[in-house]
Amino acid sequence: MLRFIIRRLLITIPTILVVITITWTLVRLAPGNFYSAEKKLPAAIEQNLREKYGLDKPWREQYLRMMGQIIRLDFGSSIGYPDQTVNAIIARSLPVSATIGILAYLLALVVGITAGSIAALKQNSKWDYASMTLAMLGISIPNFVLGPILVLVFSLMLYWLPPSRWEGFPSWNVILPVITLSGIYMAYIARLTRAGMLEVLNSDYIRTARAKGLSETQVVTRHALRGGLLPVVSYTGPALAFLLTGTVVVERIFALPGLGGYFLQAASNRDEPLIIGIVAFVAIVLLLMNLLVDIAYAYLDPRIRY
Amino acid sequence: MNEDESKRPPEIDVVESSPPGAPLSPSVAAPLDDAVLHTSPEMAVAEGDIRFTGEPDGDAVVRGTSLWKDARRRLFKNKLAVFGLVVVAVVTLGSVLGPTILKLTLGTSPDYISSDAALIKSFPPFTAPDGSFSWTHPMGTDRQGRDLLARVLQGGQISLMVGAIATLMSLIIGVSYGAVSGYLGGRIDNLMMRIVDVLYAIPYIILVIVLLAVFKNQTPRGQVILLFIALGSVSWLTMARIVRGQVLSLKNQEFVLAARATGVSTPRIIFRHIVPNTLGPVIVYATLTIPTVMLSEAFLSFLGFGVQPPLASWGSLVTDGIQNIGIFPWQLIFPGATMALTLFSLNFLGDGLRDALDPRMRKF
Repeated sequence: MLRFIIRRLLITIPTILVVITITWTLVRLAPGNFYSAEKKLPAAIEQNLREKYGLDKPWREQYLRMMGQIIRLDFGSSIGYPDQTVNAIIARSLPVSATIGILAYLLALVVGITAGSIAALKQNSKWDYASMTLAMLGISIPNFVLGPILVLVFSLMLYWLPPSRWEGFPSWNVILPVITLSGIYMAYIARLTRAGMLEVLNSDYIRTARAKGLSETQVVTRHALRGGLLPVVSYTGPALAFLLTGTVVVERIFALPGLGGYFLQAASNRDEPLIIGIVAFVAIVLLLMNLLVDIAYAYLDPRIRY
Repeated sequence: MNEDESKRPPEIDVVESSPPGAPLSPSVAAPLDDAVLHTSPEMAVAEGDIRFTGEPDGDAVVRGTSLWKDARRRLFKNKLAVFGLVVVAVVTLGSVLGPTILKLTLGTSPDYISSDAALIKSFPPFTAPDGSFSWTHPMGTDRQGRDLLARVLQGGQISLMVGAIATLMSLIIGVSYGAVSGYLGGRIDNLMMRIVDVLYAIPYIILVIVLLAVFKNQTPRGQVILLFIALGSVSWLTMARIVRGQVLSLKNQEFVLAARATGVSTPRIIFRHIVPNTLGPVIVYATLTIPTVMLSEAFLSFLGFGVQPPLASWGSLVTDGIQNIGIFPWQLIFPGATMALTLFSLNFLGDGLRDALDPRMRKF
């Protein structure tokens, strides 16, 4: 197990470096820069600013400097928000994105596993067909269509829920973004649960459990779910990556001050430290979470040994 | 699912492997069926695949059913897949021919702003400027007074084209990478697959956003081409893994040995002898890649990095529709519903193809 973790870490670190290097190269290769805006700065001021951010040095030095910063997890200061460090921006916006993301994933787990299990237990019944068609709809309706339609129905027509803005965690404002974001994961998780459960329900150890006289509820909750949910566990990694792109959309629809909004703004403004800071941060979090998921998977499934 | 480890024999064709025209009477059907299924339990042969036709007396002929024939039969039995196929065909035809037909019949075109649109620009569906019923704009008009149906069909051209071209790119890169890696094996294979592992872990959509954002000062056409390249170059990884898994199980087959013995060059063996045999899973996965890519395109257009005006895609039409959702909801609902219906159909078609071509892969 330890060897497995070490081997995975050895892949994770170069991956993070590759992500950062690609991002940096893209930002550098593209024509123009932060200062090529419509409103031209006086040459002397631009020169001073360039010196401040180290943009006058040769590119090797700049690259190494950036890498050094990232290793120390200090992403420097933003160019677009001159009085703020990238770390401060991340610290401020991350809780918003994380709250929405975690709530959405929990909702997706509860609904998806329930629907998927029912579909598997009553295979080829109308419950099965109904939930799988719904799941396919969930996969096919993009969240930026679902979100506005929810707003249209629940805010603009029924006046039940506020349409946008962030007002802290326990508030009515969270409901629509969370539902919008979780739609597609619910669908995926329901499909994965169904497939996993169907495979497990036909296996010998379930027959044994039934043969020794356990009630159907016990067979399902104690035995089948543990094996049947393994695909869902391994989906957690990709889901996290999707959650990220999902939050970008949801934050824009519902005007939430999350990480995604800052990232988009930084990318459009060529705010290099902020782009690289957010990309590096996200890549590190994502890869570490993937590692955790893999370890959890190995722990849950006794058939897997590394 | 783990394609890497799948050691599936290539398309095993039950009937063709027996001598053609061998005198078999229908009464031996069951034993043969059993024997075949037992000798290779893994292969993708569904029950009832072996059919005997011909006269029972004397020269009964076994008609060979190929993998493709079987697949077609299974596909057409699957109602949802057929539904998907029909919808995809209709939407594609509509997008290609629709704008021209509309211009000839209703006189509307994606760029045409009617003169009576000067005062009120957004007409609801089936409504003329004076509020009476009219066939001119079945989906209403957009904020500029352009016919929404024509815009949706024109948007379909770009959305479908992005889906098709990016998938084609991922197909070319993924198949060649996977086939070369799998066939060469050893250290090269190891290195090539570690590269894929590293790339797999990258949150690529973030890189695509950065790429599209920093290279943004483009003509609309240039932006679409950039979109093809960006989406195509990040969606080949799974394809490479699938093809490699297939090639690993194919490369030790007799027909490869035969090709090598007769002195066929390595590239020719890979691309003429092995790759054609991996087509089943490749087609299935490519079909499932199209909706994913189209969704990514819509997502990028929604964020403002994708298709730029005056060009339109479903994603950019939805984005325009969101602006005035409270007043003109049809501007969101029609493009959104068209896109969702198309993605829905493509997903069902892909699922159906997978069940038909490769029942063992039925996982998700």
